[in-house]
Amino acid sequence: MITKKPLFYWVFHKYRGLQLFLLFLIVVSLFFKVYPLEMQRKIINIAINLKKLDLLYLYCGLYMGAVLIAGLMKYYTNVLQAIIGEKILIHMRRQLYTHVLKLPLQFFHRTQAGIIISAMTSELNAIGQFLGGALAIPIASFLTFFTFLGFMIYLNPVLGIVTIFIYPFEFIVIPLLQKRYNIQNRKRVHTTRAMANLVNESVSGIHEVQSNSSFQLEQGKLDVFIKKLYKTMRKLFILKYGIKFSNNFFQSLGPFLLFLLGGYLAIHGQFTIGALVAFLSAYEKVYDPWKELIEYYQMYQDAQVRYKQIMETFDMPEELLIDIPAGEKPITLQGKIEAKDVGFQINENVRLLEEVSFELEAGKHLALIGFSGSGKSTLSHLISQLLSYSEGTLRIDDHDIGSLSKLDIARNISTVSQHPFIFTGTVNDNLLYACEALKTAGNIKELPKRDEVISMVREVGLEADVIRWGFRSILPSEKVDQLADKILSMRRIVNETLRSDFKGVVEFYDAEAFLEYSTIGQNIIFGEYTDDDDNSYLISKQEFRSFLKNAELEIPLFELGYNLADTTVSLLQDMHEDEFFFQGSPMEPDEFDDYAKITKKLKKVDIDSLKNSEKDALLELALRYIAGKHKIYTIPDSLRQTIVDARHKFLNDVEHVNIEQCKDGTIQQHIVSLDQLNKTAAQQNDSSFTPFCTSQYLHNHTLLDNVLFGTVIDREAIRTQLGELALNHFSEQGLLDEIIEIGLDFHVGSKGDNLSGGQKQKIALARALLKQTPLLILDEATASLDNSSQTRIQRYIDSKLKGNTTVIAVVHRLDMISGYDHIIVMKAGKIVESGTYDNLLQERGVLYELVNESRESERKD
Amino acid sequence: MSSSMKAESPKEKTKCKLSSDLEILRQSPVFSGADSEVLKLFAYLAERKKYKVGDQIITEGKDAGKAYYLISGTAEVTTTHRGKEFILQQLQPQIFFGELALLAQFKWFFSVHPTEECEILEISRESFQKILDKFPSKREKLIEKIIQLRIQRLSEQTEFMLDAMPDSYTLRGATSI
Repeated sequence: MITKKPLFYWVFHKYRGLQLFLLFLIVVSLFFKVYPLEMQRKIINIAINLKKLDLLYLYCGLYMGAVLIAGLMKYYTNVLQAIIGEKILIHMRRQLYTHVLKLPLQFFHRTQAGIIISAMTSELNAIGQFLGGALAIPIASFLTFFTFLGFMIYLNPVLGIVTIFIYPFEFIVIPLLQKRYNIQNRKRVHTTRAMANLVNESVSGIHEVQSNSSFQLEQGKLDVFIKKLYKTMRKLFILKYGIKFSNNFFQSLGPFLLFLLGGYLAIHGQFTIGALVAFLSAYEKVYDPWKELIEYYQMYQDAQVRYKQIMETFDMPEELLIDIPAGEKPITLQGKIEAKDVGFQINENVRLLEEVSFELEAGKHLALIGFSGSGKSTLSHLISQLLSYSEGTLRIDDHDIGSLSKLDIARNISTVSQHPFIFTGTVNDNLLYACEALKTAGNIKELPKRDEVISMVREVGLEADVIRWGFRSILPSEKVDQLADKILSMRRIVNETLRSDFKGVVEFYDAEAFLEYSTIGQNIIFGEYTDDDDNSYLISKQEFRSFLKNAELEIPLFELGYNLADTTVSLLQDMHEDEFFFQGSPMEPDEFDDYAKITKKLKKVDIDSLKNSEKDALLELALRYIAGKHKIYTIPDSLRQTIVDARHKFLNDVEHVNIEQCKDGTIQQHIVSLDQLNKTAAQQNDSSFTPFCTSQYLHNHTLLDNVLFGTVIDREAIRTQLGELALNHFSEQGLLDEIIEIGLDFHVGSKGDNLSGGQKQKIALARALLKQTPLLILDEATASLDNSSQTRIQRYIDSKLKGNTTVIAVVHRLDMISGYDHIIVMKAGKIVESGTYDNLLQERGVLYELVNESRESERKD
Repeated sequence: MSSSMKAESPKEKTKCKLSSDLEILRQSPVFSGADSEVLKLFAYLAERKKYKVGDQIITEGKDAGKAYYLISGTAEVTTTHRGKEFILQQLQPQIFFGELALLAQFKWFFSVHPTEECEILEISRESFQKILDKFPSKREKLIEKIIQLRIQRLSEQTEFMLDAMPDSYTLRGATSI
């Protein structure tokens, strides 16, 4: 198992060839390290002594060459070492992640996510740095050390041996300090982790913290760790610099002895000056490998500490049998369940289930009911192998559940829990998650087809939501090419038949009216430029800017921009870090400081003294402003009229579009002229202009805007009204599936943040049902849905799954259970009643009472 | 140029939505005593909506998320009991309703629909909480007002229902209560 492998396992078993090559390079580079020393001696003793210039040049050249080669080799070996480390890390991280994902659920209950995250990421990185040189560095350092030592003894044996005698002292003092350093370092890792956990906890529980105003309580908890960390860090630094000090001291002890002894010998003529210089250099160099060894030792200790802690965290056997045993075929189950005296206990004293026995034929439906804590969910977890039972036998067909591999379970059982998890990605990614997993494992060849996915979306009652997401998206251009005609025909339907119904809910694009729910920018140009969704193109367009000047709009727009900036800045001064408060302003939170600066400046100086970029910023804010949405400021009526007047001038003079033709419905003619316009635009390598004209698809607008040819004012209302009226028309046109397909690409946000609880639940149900397994386990899977959705899904289960899918459902609502073939009532971990719905009601036992109670309370409601 | 900018807004006759909603809130029972700084934020985050006869303002059984202030028009509060619909109260302009939604999550236990066209100012729980997070000292006072309003509503509705009850429900005659 991965967690039992020692740290050096990775060093000895991975990339051995590369590591050997690294070692070889280091040995070769040794020669180039010693060679310059020999040159030093020759320069002084021969070249300078004999006053030979040519020899001086030669030796200096050789010296420089050797130094350069040694430097380059050092550079190369450093890089290689880092690469080896990272390569080993890939193996380590992958194996560890696979291991972690397969750990039993209990592990995740008792281990905080923060620990797992930091272990998998930052802690492992630190180990990677060590691993690359784990073998090469110590071997190379020893070799270098002895090479230099050898050179020194070759120069003068007495002096060489004396200097070595300093080292044993270092061997004693420094490891002693290092040991204590390591103890503190381990403490540091511990405390930092605990601190990370605490921060993680209070951040995840921030609702609780803020609503209880428990700031001081949480602060107090952190304070304990802050103090502890401070104490540890203080000791750590005292030791660290203590080690440094003794290193430095011993290092300078060497030259002292050298000069004393070497000087004495030189004065007596027993030692040349050249040899003394070379000796000094060698002594300094001897220190390098020594330093490297110490650093290595520190890194080793550090890596060892981290490694041990990581491995201890995850040291737990994986769930039995993840993959199908080699040579065996995947099992396809029928779905017959047999439980005999099944028991489950978490430790000696806590028994969650006792003597549970029942039999369920394949394809039958079983409802588990009972009070909370009665063990019904636990029982369902035992069947899906999320928990392993501790007593009795629990079999599906004739296989003991414990003997089935995880893959067999995944192939045969689908589970939907009460609070399903939704992954970051699109709706479609989430719907196909279970199938995708089976496909990756090679268990199925193909994912469900589009039609299957869409019909499942309908079955679980997610259709209306998906359609809404579809309507809310801006289509990618390849989709537009496919669908533009159909969308324009939908627009015609809306315009001809639904216009009066949508009055007050939709603001239709009307060339004569100020559009309350469109931006000022769109109000002026009454159209859009392709690829310009943030007005930046518009602002940079010279024609547009000179148009604003000519139409006497520039100054009013600067004023509008200033007023918007000023009111936003003064109202939101204390809350500009919270995006929530920016809903009524065209300003973005991250622009706040910039606009604050501009407004402050404008209180002192004239607008003409602003920089161009600042003027552009004010203009941008004005162009982004939507009168009906941005409550921070109300645009004067006079300006509204000026804008509508300017609009016609813009369309006529700048874009040469005859908007009257749009209104007349002389569409054909218009398309021709627009096509020509687009062509010339393309030639100029320019963004092309599309006016708000009923015959034109608007690429920067959502599908809904395009269909309505206007802007939605009231989302709630459009939801109900569009649902009733428009959808019928569109489904007649066969367009609904297209929209659903677009809606399936809706991004659900991080962990499904953009979804409601009900939507998550429906996606989880569809995800499980799309897998089409012979067994389905529902653990209060419809609890967060409204009544009609619950009933709808129950109807699907009763009608489509009877006879072909074994269903085990933990049911909360008793009016949902009459369709089940068998009912088990549980209490305190035991079965108290078991039988068919009708039989149990006739017996007038616990179920009878429960059903009556719930009817009673229903009536009272 | 800059001087004309600053002078501009007061000269304009266009009524600013923010300040008119601010006035409305200032006169409402819940917010009447609040600081203008806080009030301005409430007005800024509040949403003004129009409802026609036949629309639903509040639907029984749906998640409660907003409080409502009736600016103009009339509406009625109803609830369904054993399949029958009962009218609990008639709402007149300048009345707050659904205020409990500002304090807690729950499902509406009554419906409200317009009896003539209504204009309503709506404040979401999220806005309410976010603002009070910034002004924690105002929280207590506002919550107290909301509870007082609720108690007043309760007694009004009880009276309304007692008026509608047949005399046979009376225990000891009209004199003692």
